[in-house]
Amino acid sequence: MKKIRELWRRLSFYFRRDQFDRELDDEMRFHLEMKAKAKIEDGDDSINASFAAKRQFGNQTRLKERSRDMWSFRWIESIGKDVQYSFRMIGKSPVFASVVILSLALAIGANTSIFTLVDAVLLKKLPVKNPEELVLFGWAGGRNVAYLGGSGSGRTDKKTGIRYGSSLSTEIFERMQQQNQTMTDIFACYAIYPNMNVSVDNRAEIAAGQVVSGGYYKGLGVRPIMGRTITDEDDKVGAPPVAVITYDYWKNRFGSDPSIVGKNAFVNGVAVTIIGVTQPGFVGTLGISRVVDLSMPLSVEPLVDSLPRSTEGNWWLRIMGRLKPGVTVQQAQANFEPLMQQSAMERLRNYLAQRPDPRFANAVPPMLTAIPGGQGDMFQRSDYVRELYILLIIVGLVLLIACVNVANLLLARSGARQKEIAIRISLGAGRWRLIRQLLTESLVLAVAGGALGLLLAFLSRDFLLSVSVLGGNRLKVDMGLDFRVLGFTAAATIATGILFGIAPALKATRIDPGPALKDTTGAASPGRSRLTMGKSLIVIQVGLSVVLLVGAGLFLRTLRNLQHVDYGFDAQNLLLFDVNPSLNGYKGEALRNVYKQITDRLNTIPAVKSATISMYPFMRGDSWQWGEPKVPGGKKAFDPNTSCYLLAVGNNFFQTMQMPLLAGRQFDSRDTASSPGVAIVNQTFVRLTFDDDKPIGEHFEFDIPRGKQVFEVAGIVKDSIYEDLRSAPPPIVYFPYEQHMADIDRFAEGMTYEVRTSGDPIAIVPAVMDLMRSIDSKTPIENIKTQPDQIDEALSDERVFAKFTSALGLLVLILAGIGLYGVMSYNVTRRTREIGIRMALGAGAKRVLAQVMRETLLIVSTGVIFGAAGSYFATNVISAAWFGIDDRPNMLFGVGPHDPFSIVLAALFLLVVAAIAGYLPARRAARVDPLTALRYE
Amino acid sequence: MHGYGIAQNIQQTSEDVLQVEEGSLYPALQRMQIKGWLTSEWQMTELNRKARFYKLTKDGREQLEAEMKKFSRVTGAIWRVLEKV
Repeated sequence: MKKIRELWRRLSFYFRRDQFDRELDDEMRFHLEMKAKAKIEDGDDSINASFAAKRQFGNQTRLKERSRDMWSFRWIESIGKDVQYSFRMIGKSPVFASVVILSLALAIGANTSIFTLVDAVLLKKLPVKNPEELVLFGWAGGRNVAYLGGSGSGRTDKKTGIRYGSSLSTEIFERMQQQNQTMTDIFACYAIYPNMNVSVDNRAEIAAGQVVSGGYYKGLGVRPIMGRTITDEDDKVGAPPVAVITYDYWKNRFGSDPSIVGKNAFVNGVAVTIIGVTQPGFVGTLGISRVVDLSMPLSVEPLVDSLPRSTEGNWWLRIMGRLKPGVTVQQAQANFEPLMQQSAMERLRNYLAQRPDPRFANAVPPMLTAIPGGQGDMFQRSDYVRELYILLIIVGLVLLIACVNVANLLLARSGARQKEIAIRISLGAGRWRLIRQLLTESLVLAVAGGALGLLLAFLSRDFLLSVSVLGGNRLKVDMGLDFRVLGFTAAATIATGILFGIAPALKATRIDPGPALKDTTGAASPGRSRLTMGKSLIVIQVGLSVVLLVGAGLFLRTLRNLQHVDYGFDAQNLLLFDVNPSLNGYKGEALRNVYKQITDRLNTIPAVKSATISMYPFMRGDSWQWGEPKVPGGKKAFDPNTSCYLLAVGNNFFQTMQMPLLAGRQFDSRDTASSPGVAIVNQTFVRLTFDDDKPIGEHFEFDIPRGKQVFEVAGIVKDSIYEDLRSAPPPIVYFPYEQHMADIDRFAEGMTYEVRTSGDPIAIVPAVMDLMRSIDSKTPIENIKTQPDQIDEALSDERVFAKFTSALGLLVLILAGIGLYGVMSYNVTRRTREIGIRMALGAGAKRVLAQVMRETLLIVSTGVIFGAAGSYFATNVISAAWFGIDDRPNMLFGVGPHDPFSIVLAALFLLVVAAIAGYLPARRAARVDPLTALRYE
Repeated sequence: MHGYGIAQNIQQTSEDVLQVEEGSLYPALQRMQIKGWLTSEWQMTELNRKARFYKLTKDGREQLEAEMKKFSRVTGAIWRVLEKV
């Protein structure tokens, strides 16, 4: 408080400095006069008295200065002067300043954008009360862990073999609540999969839902902006079903309807009352993997979930809690682990009592994991880490290049300011004072660039979000600027200013004023060393640019290669859409009929050549597997590390997809629910499973928990991709879906229609919508897209990387051009007299031109060689750094990290830019008039 | 009291033992104003001249007391040491 008042006094002083000076003057004069008067009264004569008084008083000017210093912020004033002076210097060379500021703005803007993304995906906390107090529980265990299965995210650490799971059982949740000593609140949620059919006011749409415990909103401290949130009363079995919707859902789906509270919604056919809308920004606690639209109590789950997970013993709940003040996460973990392990072992014993299973003979209880939960669920988020960090490295590289480039321009310009600096040194300016002045100038430039960059990043954030479809999912994150982003940009800006400013400042002030003032042609050594430094900077800049361009080349080639993979079917003129009648209560025969009815009706649309159905489309990332197939009596053993994919399809699937049948027959009306199981298999399946290559009529089987499933091979179809473009075509088994209706009914995940059209597939969308409305208006159509779009989605990462690195590649090429032009221009200016002499002695214009060009290309070639070596090293380091952490495939496809084509292309681009940038100064050199040149200064 | 008065006072009370550069009083007065120990006001002297008069504030009095306590503790300690010698 005192400090604040003190600051206030100082500040108010600042605005009445003149008054202060006057008053101090008056006061001191008064003092001296009084003193002199006293001396006269003591008998001194008036002149002596006045001198004596002054002597006793001390140095007036210094005392005034000291008094003033007491009040003012001297350093601020002197920095203010430096800044003022910097503006004047920048104003003198607007072109230079614009080039510097613009290139810094682009580089800093790119960094800010990517950091905003990193912040939004990896760093931002949930918009709830004191998120740092939240804890997220889960489990971990080795291969013999007492875990019987559940619903939720999980992953296995490839190195240690430890399994991690996100979800725990209702039993554990209840025991945790009973024996809680460490948390103020414990609550749980479960995201319902698949999305639900939500119908309000007779309009059915698909929405993402979750169920939550009664204490969820209270524990999180999330408030309703309208109505109320879910309470323990709502979470009792038999309580009337209620739902709370998020602000975004309320705004987008209901147009911010003010009368939403109290409305009835039919969620998967169950009547639920909407009781409230939560605060803006809150979209659940599952992180970017799952943005929630509506939440219902846990007790409603068995009613609305098409495949209930709240069955006894199922591990399905994500449990969170809020720590009591002063309690650590470790203490909370210790509080709950014993009861969780006890529950796990009890469950296993009960299970083994009914079904003895040797696999669980030596089972050990899982460990309870407790991690800070302030950011919500992180299971999916870590999937983006690799991509985001590579993007950060790339933009960091661009910033470094921009720094080197600006340093070079400053250096060349300091040549022009050599005289000014020499004068200031000879007038007694200290070297550090000058360095500070020059650094202030670079910081002013950097801050201008940083501010503009922040603006660019802010303006491009929606665009960035629209392209940042990492991992095939469009990111749903809040891209708002927060203190972390601003701090990052500020730090990047200041670091940039110092980084590019320091070397030229040191160099510029290390001159001997004598020769520098006399000799203006720059033949003295400082000019030469500055040139050497400029050339080295260009070599560094070109080298870094090569690294970036090689990266861009690799990503572009990867994208191109992936786009030219042979799919094994014709993707053109193929429309896909999903329908899930199960969510609207269709079961058994009714479900079978509605699927068939839709197929039949689709075939009557004029522009449709043929229509078919499958459990899901190719390339969506969905897959169905039953383990390894076996041929009874066969010699070949199927490799357990190869995934054998299954797909249930309609009768004319292969005809619609235009996948050639190589042997046997299509599925047809013979294949019914009651007829023997048949399958059509692809070439790879035949090769990996059967001893012969035409096994029509032969049998194979899958051994799954519910018993052996035997199939007869009806046909062999050409290989195709399944869920991934990067792998070789996998073994695939196709079943007639009518023989698997029981599974389709049970999974309740809906099916996909594939429609082959004669023209643009999008043109038939209205007809499809009409058709579906006439069959059942409450079963909406989802995920309408063409097959090429579906495949493209799988390439989103590659596209983002290719586009982003090429755009930045273009930027660094321009920067390289500017930098080179700057250095060579300076070089030519410096040597004007020398060139003039040579020309006077008979050197031709062509020869001068060639000489300058040769010099340019020599510098650039050196840079290119360093860059090529650097990129070889960099790709090695990057691939080594990711090896082992991440079990996902290599980011490149069809090219090695040391792709010579990309390196040669990068080198060529740079050489062309260098030739253009070097030609202009070279031509100027060639046009030097010997007479003018010799008189030059 | 105005600056000149303060200086005179110090000189007379200390019987000319404490003779400092009189002017150095003024930066010190400024510092004490910043700290909020003093306030100042322009007033007329008995001789009808305008002068800046300084006054101790509540904060200033507290500070003075604290300083005096500290000072007497230190001098007391010094005395005790000297007496032992």
